[in-house]
Amino acid sequence: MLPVAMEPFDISYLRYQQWTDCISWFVLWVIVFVAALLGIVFKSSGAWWWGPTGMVGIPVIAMWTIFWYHPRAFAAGGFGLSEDVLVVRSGVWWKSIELLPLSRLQHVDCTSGPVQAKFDVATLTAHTAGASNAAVSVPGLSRFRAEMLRDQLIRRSDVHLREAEATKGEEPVAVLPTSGVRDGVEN
Amino acid sequence: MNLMEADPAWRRLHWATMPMQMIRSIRVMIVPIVVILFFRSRGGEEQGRAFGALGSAGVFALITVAIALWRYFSLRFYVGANELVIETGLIGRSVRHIKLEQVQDLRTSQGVLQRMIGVSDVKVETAGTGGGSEAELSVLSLKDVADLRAKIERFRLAKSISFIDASLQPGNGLPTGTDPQPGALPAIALGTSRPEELLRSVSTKELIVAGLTSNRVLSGLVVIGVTWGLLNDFIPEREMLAWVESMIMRLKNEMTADTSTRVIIALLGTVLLISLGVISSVVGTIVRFHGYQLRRSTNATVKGLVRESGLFTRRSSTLTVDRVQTLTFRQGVLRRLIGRMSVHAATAAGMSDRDKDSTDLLLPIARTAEAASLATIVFPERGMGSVTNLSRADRSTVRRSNKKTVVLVLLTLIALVMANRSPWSMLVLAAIPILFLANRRSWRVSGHQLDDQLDDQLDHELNYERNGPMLHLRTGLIGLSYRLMPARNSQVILLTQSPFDRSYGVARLHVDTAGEQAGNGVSVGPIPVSGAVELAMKLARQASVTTWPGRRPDSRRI
Repeated sequence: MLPVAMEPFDISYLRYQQWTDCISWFVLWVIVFVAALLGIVFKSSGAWWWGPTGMVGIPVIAMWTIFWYHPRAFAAGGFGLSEDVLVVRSGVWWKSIELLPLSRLQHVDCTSGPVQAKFDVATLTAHTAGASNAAVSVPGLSRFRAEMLRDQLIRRSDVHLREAEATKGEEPVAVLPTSGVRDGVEN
Repeated sequence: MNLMEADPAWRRLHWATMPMQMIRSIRVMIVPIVVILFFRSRGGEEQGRAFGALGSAGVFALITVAIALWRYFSLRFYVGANELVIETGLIGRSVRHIKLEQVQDLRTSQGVLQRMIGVSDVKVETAGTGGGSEAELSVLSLKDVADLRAKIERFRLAKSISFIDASLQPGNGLPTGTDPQPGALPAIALGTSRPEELLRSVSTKELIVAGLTSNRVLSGLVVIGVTWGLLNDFIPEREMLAWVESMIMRLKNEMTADTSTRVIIALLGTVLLISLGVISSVVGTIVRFHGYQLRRSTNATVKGLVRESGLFTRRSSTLTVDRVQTLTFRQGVLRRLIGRMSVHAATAAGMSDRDKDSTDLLLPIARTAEAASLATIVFPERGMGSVTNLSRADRSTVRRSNKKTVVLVLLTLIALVMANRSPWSMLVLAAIPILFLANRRSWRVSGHQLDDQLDDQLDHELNYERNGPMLHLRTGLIGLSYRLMPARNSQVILLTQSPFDRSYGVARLHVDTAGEQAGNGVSVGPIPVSGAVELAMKLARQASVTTWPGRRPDSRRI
C-alpha cells in the first residue's frame, strides 16, 4: 500500500535480539531458581507455588518470545528510502509507520554497542526539530548498511542539492541494494 | 586590557537591576518575616527568638545586596551585526553567542514598579530552548529594548532582501543563506517606534465575557486552597484548627436539624463555590488581558504579531509569523452559544509564558469572523482555504469506539468489584449509554481535509507559495476545536494501528511539528487505512519539497 519500496532489516538483527533475550530470560530464571531454593532451605511460610511456576513459566515465555514473537517482529519491521521520504515500519500487534520528510533532517546518529557490534548490528537514528516523535530509528542494519544509509540521508536531505541534481539531469545515486519489497500497514 | 573590553558596543543592564533584584529577594522572605514579627513575638519568652530571626533577616539583606551588585556588574551584552552576545561572570566568565536569525521571540514584561521607572524584563527565545528562555536580560531600559528589537528586525529584513535579490538573479539557484553584512542592512532608525498596524484590541466588556465563559469554575477551589495556604502562613496552626473544628461542629448541628436546612446549606455552598470560581475567572482574565492589543508589523518582509496586555504587569511579546506551526480556534460550549472563540498558535519556540497546553494565545476572545480573518494574516495566500466539507471517518468507527467503551467499562467494573465488593459498583454501567452518545457526537463533529486546491493557481501566478496545502482538522465533543496546519510544517508523520483498529481497517495519524511540546502536533483519526496512508504520503512529500523556516529564510516550492 505504501508507494515506497520497503527493505527488511538484516537477519543478524533477529539473531541479536534472540540471543540477548535468551540471556535475559536465563538470568531471570536463575534468580527465581535461587530464590525458590532459599525458600525451601529456610522453610518460608509464604506461598510455595511461585517457585515452580516461575521455573516452568519463564522458559515457556522465553521460548514463545524467542521463537514466535521476535521472528514476527522482524518480519513486520523494515524501512524504505525514496527520493524524499524515509519510511520505517514496525510492530506485531500495535503497528506503526513513521515517515520522515528528508528535508526535515537535523542530524543522524549511528550507534552500535559492544553486543550489537558482536552481531554486526547498528542503529541509525534520524533527528528532526519535532516534539513528541522527533526522531526516527532504523534499528536492524549492519554497520555497513547503516553508514551507507546515513550518507544517503544527509545527501538527500538538502532540498536545494536535490533540485540542483535534478536540473542537471543527474540520476539519483542508488542507495542500498533492495533485497525485497513489502508494503502496507496490514502486513 | 582585553580587546572586548575596549569595544564600546558592550552594554550593561539598567541600574534599576540592583533595586529590582533586591525587591525580588525580599519578596520571597516577606511572609516568614511578617509571621515572625507578629505572631512569634506574642509570647514574651519568644521575643529573643524573634530578634534572632530579625538578625538573620539582616544577614539575608546583606546577601541580597551582594547578589544585586553581582548581578549588575557580572552581566554585559552587545548586539552585533548578526548576533547577540551575552557575557556573564566576574571571575570565571562565560560568553553566549545567540544568532539573531535564531531569535524567535523577544518577550518583555513590566511590573508596576518597572513601568514607573521605565524598564522591562526581556526574555530572548530561540527554537528548541525547552523549558525556558535562551537568555534573560533583567532589567533593560525601554530604549535598549527598542534598540534590540529594531536590530533583530533589521537583520531579518536584510536577510529577506538578500534572499529575494539572489532569487531574482537570472540563472541563479537559491541563495545559500549567508548572513548579511552590516553595511548591507537597510536603514531603520534605531530606538524609534516600529511601524505597526493594530489588528485587534479587546475591551474590558469582552474580557468579562471571556472570564464568564472560560470554564474556570474549578478556580474557586484553587482560590480557597490559596487562601487557606496564606492564612496558614499568618495564623498559628492551633488557632486555625480550633476555628475549623468550631465551624464543623456548627455545621453538624445545622445538618442534623432537618432535610430542608441541609438542602439549603448544600445549595448555598454550591452557589458560593461557583460564584468564587466565576469571580476569580473574570478577575484573573481582566488582570491578565487588560488592554489587550494584537498588532502586526507592517513591514513587508518581517512578519510579526505583537501582543501586549496586563493590568499590573504589562507583558509584550512578538510572534514571528513564519515560526507558527499550527493555528487553533477553540470554542467552549458557552462561547459557541454567543459566537465567540479564542485563537491559539503553536510555535517552534520554547515554552516560557505559554498556556497550559503549550500553545501561544493570540486572541483571548473574538467573534468567529474576526478570529477566522487572523488565519489569513498568519498563513497568507491561504487563510482558512477553500475547504467546505471535512471528510469524516466511516460510521463503523462509532461501533469501534462503542466496543472499546464497553470493554473499558467492564474492566473498570471488575476492578471496582474486586476492590470494594459493593453492589454500588454496578452503577458504573450507567456510564455506557452516556459514553455511546459521546462517541457518536465526537464522530459527527470530527473531520479533516487536506486543502490543496489552490496549488495550481498559486504555482501559475506566483511561481512559489509560502504555505502550500493546509491540513484542516476539527475535533470536539461539547466544545469545538478547529486546527490549521500547513503541510510544510510536518516534521515526522506517524501512522499507528492497534489490533482493534486493524479489525476495523482504520489507522491513526499523528503529525509532529517543530517545537519542544508534544501538544504542537496534529492527530487525525481513526480514519480508513488507505486514506491515512495517502494523507501521510502527501504531507511527507509536501514537507520534503519545502524547507523549514528554521533552516532557511523562506520556503520555496520546487
